[in-house]
Amino acid sequence: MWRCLRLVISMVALTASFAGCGGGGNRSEKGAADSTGVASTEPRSGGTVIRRLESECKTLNWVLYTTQYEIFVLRHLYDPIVDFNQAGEMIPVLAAALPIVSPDHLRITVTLRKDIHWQDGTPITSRDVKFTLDKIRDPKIPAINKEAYFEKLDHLEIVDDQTVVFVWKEPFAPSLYAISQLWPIPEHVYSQGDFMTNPANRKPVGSGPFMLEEWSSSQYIKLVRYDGYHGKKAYLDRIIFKVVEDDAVALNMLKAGELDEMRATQIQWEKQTNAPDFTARFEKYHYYVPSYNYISWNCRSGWFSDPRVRRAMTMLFDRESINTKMYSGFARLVSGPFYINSWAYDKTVKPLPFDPQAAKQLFDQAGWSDSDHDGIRDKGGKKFDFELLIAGGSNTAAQFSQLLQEECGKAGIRVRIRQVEGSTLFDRIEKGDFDASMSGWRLDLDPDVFDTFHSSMTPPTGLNHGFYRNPTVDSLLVAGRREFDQAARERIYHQVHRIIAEEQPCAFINAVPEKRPIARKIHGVVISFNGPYDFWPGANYWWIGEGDGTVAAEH
Amino acid sequence: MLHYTLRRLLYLIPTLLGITIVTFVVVSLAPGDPVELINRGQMDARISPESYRQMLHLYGLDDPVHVRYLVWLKRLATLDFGRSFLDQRPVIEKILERLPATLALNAASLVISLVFAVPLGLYAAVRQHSKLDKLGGTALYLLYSLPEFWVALLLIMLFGVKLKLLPFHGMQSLDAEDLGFFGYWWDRLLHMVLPTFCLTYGSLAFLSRFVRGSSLEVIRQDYIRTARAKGLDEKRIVYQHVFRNTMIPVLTLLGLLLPTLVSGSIILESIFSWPGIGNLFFTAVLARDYPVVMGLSFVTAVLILLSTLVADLLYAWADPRVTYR
Repeated sequence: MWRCLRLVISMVALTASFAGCGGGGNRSEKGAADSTGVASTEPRSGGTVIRRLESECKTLNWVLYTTQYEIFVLRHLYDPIVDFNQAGEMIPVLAAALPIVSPDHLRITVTLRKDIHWQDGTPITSRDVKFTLDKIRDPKIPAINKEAYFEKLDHLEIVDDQTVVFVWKEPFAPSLYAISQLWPIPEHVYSQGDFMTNPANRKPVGSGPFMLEEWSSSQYIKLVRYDGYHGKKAYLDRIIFKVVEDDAVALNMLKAGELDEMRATQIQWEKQTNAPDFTARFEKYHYYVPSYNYISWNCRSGWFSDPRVRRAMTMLFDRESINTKMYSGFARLVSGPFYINSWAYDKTVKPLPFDPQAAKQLFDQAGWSDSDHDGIRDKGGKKFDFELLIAGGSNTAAQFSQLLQEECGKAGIRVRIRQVEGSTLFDRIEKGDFDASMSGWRLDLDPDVFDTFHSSMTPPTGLNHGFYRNPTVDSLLVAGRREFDQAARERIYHQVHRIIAEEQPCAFINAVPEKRPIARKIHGVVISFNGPYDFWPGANYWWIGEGDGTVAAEH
Repeated sequence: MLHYTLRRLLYLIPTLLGITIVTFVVVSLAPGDPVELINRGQMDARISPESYRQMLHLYGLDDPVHVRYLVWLKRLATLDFGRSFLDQRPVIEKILERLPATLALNAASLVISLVFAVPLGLYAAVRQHSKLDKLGGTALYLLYSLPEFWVALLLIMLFGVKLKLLPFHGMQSLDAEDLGFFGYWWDRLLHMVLPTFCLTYGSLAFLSRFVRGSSLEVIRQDYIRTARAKGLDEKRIVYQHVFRNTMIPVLTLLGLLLPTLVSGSIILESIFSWPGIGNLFFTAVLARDYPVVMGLSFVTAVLILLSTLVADLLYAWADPRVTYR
């Protein structure tokens, strides 16, 4: 199983500088918790919202997409079978009801609604579901990012036009989540001609509340409301996605009224978006997404095999001061491998404190002392002198690691920081070829972390890059992916969280929120457990209030 | 002359082969491959070793470099650049789609910088050491050293956001089609103002200094002194004798500038969201989209070689002292 995680150099995108980030900015922003969009008046139809794409879409074929920007667009064009609502509960969309799991957990039955159709009027049936799954699993089609979800699927049975049964090889709790990742595409459109070069990849026939109007390569994508939609009709006439790669230019466009929302950088958030005329026009939202930054310790190396040493390393790392200096307090320290807004994350487990004294004691206990008095700890002739891999070109990673280097130096440990290019970094991490490495995980919504912490998942097989091994964790992780009862699963993952926090196979650093100004003229903005877009219905039912300037300044 | 041209054209073939081999090898040596880069760092999932191999095979990347090069070369012989790994569209289609944008911008910039640079340079040379020459020189050096992206952002803030006079995103407005014929082209013209300015001021500075230097050289020649001694009108001296001889080295330079017409500026195109070649090339390199990278390098290489040839021929045409055999 390689489903869940995506290795990211999240720190690259989140560059901020130490200098002059003293906070200060006003805090009128709404946090994730209290912002559910003020719907003071009745929603009304009409108007256009212009959103930003940070890079060009390559395809609008649901099976072939690879980037988050493509999902932004696809979420308006297609409906999922099931999805998660703003609270993170699974709800049916194209399905008539939630999937039914058989008592042995091997068969999951999905019944589609009868009244659903594609945007050309053809009914959506179980054959479309099967067709989509077949394409995802076709070795000739590069859909690896979805294929992995269905690795444990044995086959699919079509019972009738509305009913399909997913038959799994073994009881597998994340299988329900896998079904939420299957968004059907129309068989009658895509079975014509070559799949990879099908014209519909750029002119899709969707199932969602919006349809494609025009796509101008690397310029914009225009969506228009689909009035024949089988669900509740959308309010907006149009959603336009403009490709704007440069952050500074995007902010200028936002100010000029040529964009209605964007992702802001830390500096933009603190320094460039606080003028009264800006906050009058834009609501500043910040929210967390399933991700965290960490330093992975190679447990096979002579230095990090002892959990006491790993704990001590984390305690040398002043994560709180990074948070105040670089994120003006916005980032959250994390203590374990789950999404902080997930039920799997045990909030009672606190992150290890920054405590150099305690760390030194732990090093002494573990037998690392400076026996030859050269200022560097050693044990059995081996010096505590290791290499920390970080992404080149990432200021943030560089600053993180320098802070750690300094504290380590005081504690008698030598850290050699090595910046490498992104793909080399990934390559070495995935081979487990490092002493320590800094990167980030983008997580799935299902909390299964088997791939990252089970002892069978070490390189080159899986994602346990640091060769972490703990028999108790192993058996808990196996139990966790077989348990279908959420309360029981929660208890299992809380135990996992506790052990991993204790043993520190990685130094968990923080989760950094996304920051997004959205125009106040837009109503119905909901910040879900997973941000404003990635849930159902996402941004599909945004609307523009009366007198809120439905005519956007357009250039 | 004909003989010379033919010989030069034949030389193109081994040169091009050399260029493509080096490019191909260098691109293949860069760490990472498209399968990894498309799927990782972007979206979900690491890939199981098995499906990873399948994907490599799908893109024809499981062969050694020399085999892949030969396959690429064979395709090229039929003028087939292959399909992009990223979106499976034909490379040539992607290039042609981007070409007009880059061409329009660079042609405008080249013409404008020539139109201004030549008179500026000539004037400065004729009035050497005058106040205007010194002032102009300083101003041009200043311009030349201003970084494009910085100027671009300042102009965007001033003309785009504060004054709302000029657009700064893309080639046309969203509603351009509804503006009528005149409105449509006016809209496009407005969209070109800022990017063209940013692209031009640097080369304008450079070109006018070049023209000045070249004219200064000409002015010191004996035939100019002779012309003056004959009592020729100063205007005629400048226009007929200085100007024409100044243009000879400028022609050579122009030959070298021609390929820049199709090589887009990565920074400016990304700032102004200009859908040009630079942007395409940059994305392709980052994603290791080999067919696109190779296609673009090949096209650029051909153009550079051809325009050097054209420059050489023009040189012979402009300067009767030069002959090719």
